[in-house]
Amino acid sequence: LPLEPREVLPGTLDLMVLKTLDTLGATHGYGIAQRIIQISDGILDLNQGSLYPALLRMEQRGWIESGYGMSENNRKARFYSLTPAGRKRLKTEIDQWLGMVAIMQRLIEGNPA
Amino acid sequence: MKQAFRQWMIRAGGLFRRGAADQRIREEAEFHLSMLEEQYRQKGMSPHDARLAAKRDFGGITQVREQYRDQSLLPSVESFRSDILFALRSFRKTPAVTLLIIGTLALGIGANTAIFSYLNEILIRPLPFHDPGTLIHIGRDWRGESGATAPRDFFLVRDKAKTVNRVATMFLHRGENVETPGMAQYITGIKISKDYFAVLGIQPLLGRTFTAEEDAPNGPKVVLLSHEVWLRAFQGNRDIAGTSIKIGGVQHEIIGVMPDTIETNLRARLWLPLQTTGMGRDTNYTTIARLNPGVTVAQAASEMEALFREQERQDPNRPRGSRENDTLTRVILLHDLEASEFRQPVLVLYAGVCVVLFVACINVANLLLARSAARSREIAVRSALGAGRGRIARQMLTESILLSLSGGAAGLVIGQALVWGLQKVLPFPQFENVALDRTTLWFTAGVSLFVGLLFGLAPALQALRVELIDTLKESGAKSSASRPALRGRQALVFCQVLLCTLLLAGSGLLVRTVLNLRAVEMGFQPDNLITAPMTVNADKQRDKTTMISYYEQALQRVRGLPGVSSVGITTQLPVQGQFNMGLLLLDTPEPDRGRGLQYRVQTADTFRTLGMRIVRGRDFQTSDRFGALPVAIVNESFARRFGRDGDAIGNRVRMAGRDTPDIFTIVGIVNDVRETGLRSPVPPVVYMLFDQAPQETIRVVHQFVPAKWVVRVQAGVNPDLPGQIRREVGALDPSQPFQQFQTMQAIVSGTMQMERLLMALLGAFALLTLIMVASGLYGTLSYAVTQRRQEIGIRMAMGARWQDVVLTVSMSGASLVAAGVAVGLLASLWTAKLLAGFLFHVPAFDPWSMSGTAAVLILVSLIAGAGPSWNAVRTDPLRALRVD
Repeated sequence: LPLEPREVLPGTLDLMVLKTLDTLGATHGYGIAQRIIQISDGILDLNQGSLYPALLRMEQRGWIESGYGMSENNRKARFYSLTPAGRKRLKTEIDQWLGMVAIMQRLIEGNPA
Repeated sequence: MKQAFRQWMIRAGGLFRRGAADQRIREEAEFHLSMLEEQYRQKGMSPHDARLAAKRDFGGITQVREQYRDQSLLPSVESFRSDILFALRSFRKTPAVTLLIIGTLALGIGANTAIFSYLNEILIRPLPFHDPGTLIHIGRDWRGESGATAPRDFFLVRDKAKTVNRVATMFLHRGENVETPGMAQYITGIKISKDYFAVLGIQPLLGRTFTAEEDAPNGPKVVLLSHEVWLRAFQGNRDIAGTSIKIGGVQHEIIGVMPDTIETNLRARLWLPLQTTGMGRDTNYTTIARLNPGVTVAQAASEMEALFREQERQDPNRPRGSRENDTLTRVILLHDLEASEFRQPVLVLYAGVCVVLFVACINVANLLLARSAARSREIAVRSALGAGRGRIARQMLTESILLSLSGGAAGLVIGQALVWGLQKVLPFPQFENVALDRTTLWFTAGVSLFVGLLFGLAPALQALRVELIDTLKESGAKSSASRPALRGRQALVFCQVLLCTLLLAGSGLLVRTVLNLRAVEMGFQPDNLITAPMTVNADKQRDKTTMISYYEQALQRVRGLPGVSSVGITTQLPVQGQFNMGLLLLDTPEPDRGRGLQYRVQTADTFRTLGMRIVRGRDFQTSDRFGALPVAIVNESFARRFGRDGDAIGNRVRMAGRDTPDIFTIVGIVNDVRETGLRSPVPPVVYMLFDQAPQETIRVVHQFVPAKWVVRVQAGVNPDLPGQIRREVGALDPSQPFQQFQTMQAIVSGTMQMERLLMALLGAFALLTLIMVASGLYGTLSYAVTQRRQEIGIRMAMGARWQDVVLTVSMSGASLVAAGVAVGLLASLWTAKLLAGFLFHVPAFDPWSMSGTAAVLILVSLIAGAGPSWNAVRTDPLRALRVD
């Protein structure tokens, strides 16, 4: 059953970005977007521009930091990378998400814990 | 928390790097788009299609940029910015009202700033000495009157007290004739014990302070100069070792120069060693001390009290009949001693100026209310567009605070101008250092902010209350919604009238006080009388014959000058103060043990010159010389108190003290003169002549007071008389200059200068508030007339006469004022209590001040009501009913 393209679930963008940076290391915004789209197999309808306010917010919170670097095609770009606080945050986000998934699963299957 | 702070910091930083955030998102978008484009082109799209596809993927750039920018700024700061811009726009739309508001506030805050700088100087600013919190004054109150200490008290504290580590005393103010090359000058100086400057923590600029040997009885003639005298006499020459200066006709060696920073606080220009034996019992010495570390003032006080009690118990010469509680020890911080005289007046004035500021605030609140009423539709529209009520209230407060800060800034300028003006007219040396210092600046800023909140509250609350639908709907029938607004404004005017009543009634009481003081029967004629003190040098004080022949020659010279009717010399002028000596009355029913009586020594012509009257017996005569029968004259009060059936002629008196055997016979009774001030009852006084008073008495008297010359002049004959007297007498002995010549009238009004100062300033405050009340009332009545225009139109259409309309309008004003006055007058009973210390023969509920206050306010309310009444009368019924 092919999935319909769908919007990013509210509250999940942070997790996606943090996990992407965790996997890839320092990456520019374009790279982050491509990675998320690629992983979702084109199903997530990511409004790529909306990534940037989110990046700024996370940088303000101290989860990520940014600086200039050279992209694969030799262009100057802003690269984002995780800070230790960001790593901790990622762990929290994953736990929360897995918890939520577990709840949803039990709800759907009708098995009380 | 830390994170939130970090975010806040970054955002606050963003506020000032607005451009940087914009730049950054532009770069990011550009890079992202070009990467997308390239990706699509590699898939075989045309450049145009690739671009479109990239843009589609990226989403709305403008939205992202907005979001990005909002996020890079503090939301509250950002909207605060827009609040301010909005406020400025709305000020520009109503420049007249805005200026009126700022002007009103500037006056209120300016007056507040000026008076606060005095309060600051007197009550708050620490003394400019080292660690002023441990600097105490030790005084001894006598029967409830604050008093000073005697030399033996100083010795006792210095030698026995354990709560203090350094003690010093000084002899109360007097001056010296100082001769510098080319001229002689009278310079204020005090005699101090050797540790005086050590207690205060002041080092000499040059040389040293007094040693124990120099401070011992009969010690050497040495002097410490102030910076000012040093500059004048020695042109700032630092090599002062071995130099000397003639003081009181005697050479004194200069041992040091004090720094210039202390002069205004010590009010002396030279210092001599006290050289006391410590035996004296005369309480003319101010004793100060340094508390030991950790000792409180109260602890020191209880130790001193115990020491003095013990001293009294062991005193063989304790005056008979003196009771245990006659003297009480009073230990206070030196700062409080300095403040004591001016504490009450400064507090009264500050209270007055706060009332002014409060009334100004009410006026401003009223104006803002009027404005926000006019803007109620704008406000309703804004809230319809989604502005929260809190947001709108905040907008109102922002406007108020902007106004109050502008008013505060202008107020600082006015305050500075007022302080400059006041410094020129205020005669008190304690105010010399008053200036707008940092404390005052901060205080004014705080006051501005506070009043902004205060008067901003009313419109802000009103904004919270605006009924959205009603206001938008409100087109013709604006009756019900406006009533509460009108009532609020009436309440404000009521408060204003009340406060104004307080000030008016208070200044009324002071006006009456000054009038009463002026009406006091003084017992002499102060008009056409000029006077100046002159201290005679030591040679004349030591030798009476030298002094008398000097006086005779000098008086002869002055008598010869044109415009002089008569001239005399006395040791104490009327109304100017106390001077007691111990006297024995030899004809009292039981033997007299001596008592302190008011005592003056003078020349034969003095009663005539002052315009006093001999009631019985005779005046002094030129034949009452040294060697002739010693005579005295007493006043009526003396005769009533000590004479038989009010007559004391023939009674005999003698100076208390072994070495003065002369017995004086009372030959005349002179009329009562307000010797010790206008307020005090006339005390018994004994008058003697320089020719006959004992040598020792004359020496002692001169130690305390310089002789005062009084000259009765023929009005308008010789305007340069003081200068000529100076030259004539100066030619006789240039080393003894006159001090300032003054008219006796000036001296009399000088004794009521505090009352006059309070009267003038409170009167000015009252006038200022009265103007504000008038304008507030005018505004409110105009508003009421506008609100009731339709009603008035209908009434007039129904046949109401113009008199009825005027009556309705002015009655609404007058009843408001009457209510305010009534409550204000009741409250002014409390004001009178605050002023009680200054009032003279005025009851707290003084019918004259009260009715005057009421009359003024009613009159003002009628005047303020005239304009609105006229407007109401001119209402055209047809147009009023059509009003939209």
